Amino acid sequence: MPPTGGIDIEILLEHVSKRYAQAGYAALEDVSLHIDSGSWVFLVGASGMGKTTLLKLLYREELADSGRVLVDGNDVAQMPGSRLRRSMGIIFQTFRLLEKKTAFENIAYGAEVLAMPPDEVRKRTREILELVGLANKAGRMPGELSGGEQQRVAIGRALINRPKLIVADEPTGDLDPENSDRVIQILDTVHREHNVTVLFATHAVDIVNRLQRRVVRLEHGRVVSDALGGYWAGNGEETE
Amino acid sequence: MKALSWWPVYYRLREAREGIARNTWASLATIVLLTLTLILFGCFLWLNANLSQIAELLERQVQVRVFAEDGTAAASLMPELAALPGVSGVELLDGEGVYAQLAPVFGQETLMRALPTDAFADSLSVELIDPDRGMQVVESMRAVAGVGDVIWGQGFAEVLYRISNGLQKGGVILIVGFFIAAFLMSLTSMHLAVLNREVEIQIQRWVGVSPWGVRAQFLIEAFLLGLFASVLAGAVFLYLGEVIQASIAALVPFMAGQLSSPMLVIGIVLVTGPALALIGGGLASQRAIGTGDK
Repeated sequence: MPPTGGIDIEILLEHVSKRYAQAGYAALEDVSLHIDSGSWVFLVGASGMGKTTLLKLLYREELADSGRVLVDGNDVAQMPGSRLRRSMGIIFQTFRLLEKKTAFENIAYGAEVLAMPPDEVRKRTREILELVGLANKAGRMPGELSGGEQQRVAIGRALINRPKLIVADEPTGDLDPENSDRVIQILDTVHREHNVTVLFATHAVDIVNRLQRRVVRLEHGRVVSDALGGYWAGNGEETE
Repeated sequence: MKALSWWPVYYRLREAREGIARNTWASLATIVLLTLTLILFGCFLWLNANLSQIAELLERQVQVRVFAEDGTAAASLMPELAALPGVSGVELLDGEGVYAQLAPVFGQETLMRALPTDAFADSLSVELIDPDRGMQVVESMRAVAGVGDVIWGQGFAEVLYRISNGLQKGGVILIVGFFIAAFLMSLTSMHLAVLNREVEIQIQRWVGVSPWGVRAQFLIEAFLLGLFASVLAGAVFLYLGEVIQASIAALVPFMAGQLSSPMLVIGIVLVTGPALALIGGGLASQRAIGTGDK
C-alpha cells in the first residue's frame, strides 16, 4: 500500500447516546471510548447491540443524540461528512462492487471520483492489487471472482485513498475461514506497516482471539467490557 | 499541469456519456420529447413575434380610407369628416406620397413599369375613436356630400385578430402541455439514472465525494440531454424557418422583408433545452441525494 502520510487518527467518544425512534430503544447508551491513533480495536457483541451504530457515528452516517464524537480532534457533528470520510476507508460485509467494471476499475473508481490524476490512479491501483493479491485478476469482472476475492477488491477500493482510519463492519461475515484470514492479513499489513487505525466490528470469535488486540464489547448499546489483548468467548463471556 | 486541471472535467463528461448510454431508452425518450417541445416552442415564439408585426399591419386596416367623388378635392372634405362623432382625426394622403411608399416595397422600376406616377388619387385617412362602432361612423361618412368610396377593412381585420388570438391561446396551452411532459420525462429519466447508480452513489459517498460532487454527475447528464435536444430542435427550426420564409417570399414578396429572423428564437431554444433538463435533473438528484453534507 502507498504511504499514508504518517498522520494517524485518534478517536474519542464522550457520553454518546443514540436512539432510533422506530426501534424504541437506545442503540447506544452513554458510550465513552478513547481509541489511540495507530491502534487496532475489535468491536464485538451480538447483533443489534450497537456495533454498526457506533461505526456509523464515526463516518457520520448517523449523528449522536447526545455526547460528542471526535475524530482526529474534530467534532464529527461540526464537519462535513465528505471531508471526514476522505481520511477513512470503509468496508462492509456486502462488497458493493460495480458489476460492469473490472477488479482494476472497481478499485480505481474510489480515487477517480475524487478527481485524482489518472497516472496516479493507475499507479496506486497496481500497488493495491499487489497488496490484496489480485494482480493476476485485475481484468476480471466481479462475477468472475470468488466471494473472498470480491471482498479483497472492496478492501482495495477502501485503501486506494490512503486512509488513516479503517472502519470495517463485519468484513468477514460472508467469508469462509481461509478468505477471512486473507482479509485479516491484508488489514493487518496495512495496520502494521503504515500505522493505520483499525476499527473492526465482528462476530468472528476465532479472529478476535487469534489476533489478541483490544476488544470492546457492546451489550444493549453499552460498553460492558474493554480489554486489551482480551479473549472473547463469543457468547457474551469475556476474560483477560 | 494544464492537462491535469482538465482531468476532472473530462472524467465527469466521460461518466455522463456512459451514464446516458446505460440509460439508453429513457435518455432517447427524453431527447425526443424535449426536441418536439422545443420545436413547437420555437415555432410559437416565431409566430408570436411575427403576429405582432402582422397586427401592426392590421391596425392600419382599422383606419378608414375615404376617396372624394370626381371633381371634389379630398382636402375640402376634411373639416366635415373631422366633425363627425366617433372620428378622432383625419389625415390627407396625397397620391404621390402613396406612390412613394410603395416604391421601396415593389421596387421603383417595377412600380414605374406597372403604374404611372399619378395613378393614385388623393385620399383621406380617417382614424376612429372606437373601431367597434366603426360601421355607424362609416355610414355617416358615406352620407357626407362629395364622398365617393369609403374603404374600411375592419371586418377582415377582426377575423384575422380572432384567428391570431385563438392561435396564441391554443399555442400557449399546447406549449405548456409539452413543457410539462418534457419536464416530467426529464425528471423520470434522471430518477432512473439515479436508481441505476445507487451503488456508485453509495461508493462515492463512502470515499468522501460531497453531495454536490455526486449530483454534478446527474446534472451534467441532464445538461447534455437538454443540449442535444435543443441543438436538434434548433437545426430543425432553422430549416423550417428557411422553408417558410422562402415560401412566403415566393407568395407575398413584400411580406418576406417584414418577417423577423428566426435566429433569436433559435438562441432561446438553445438555452431553454438545457435549462429545462437541468431543472429535471436537479430535482431528481435532490430527492435521491440531497444537498446536505451528511
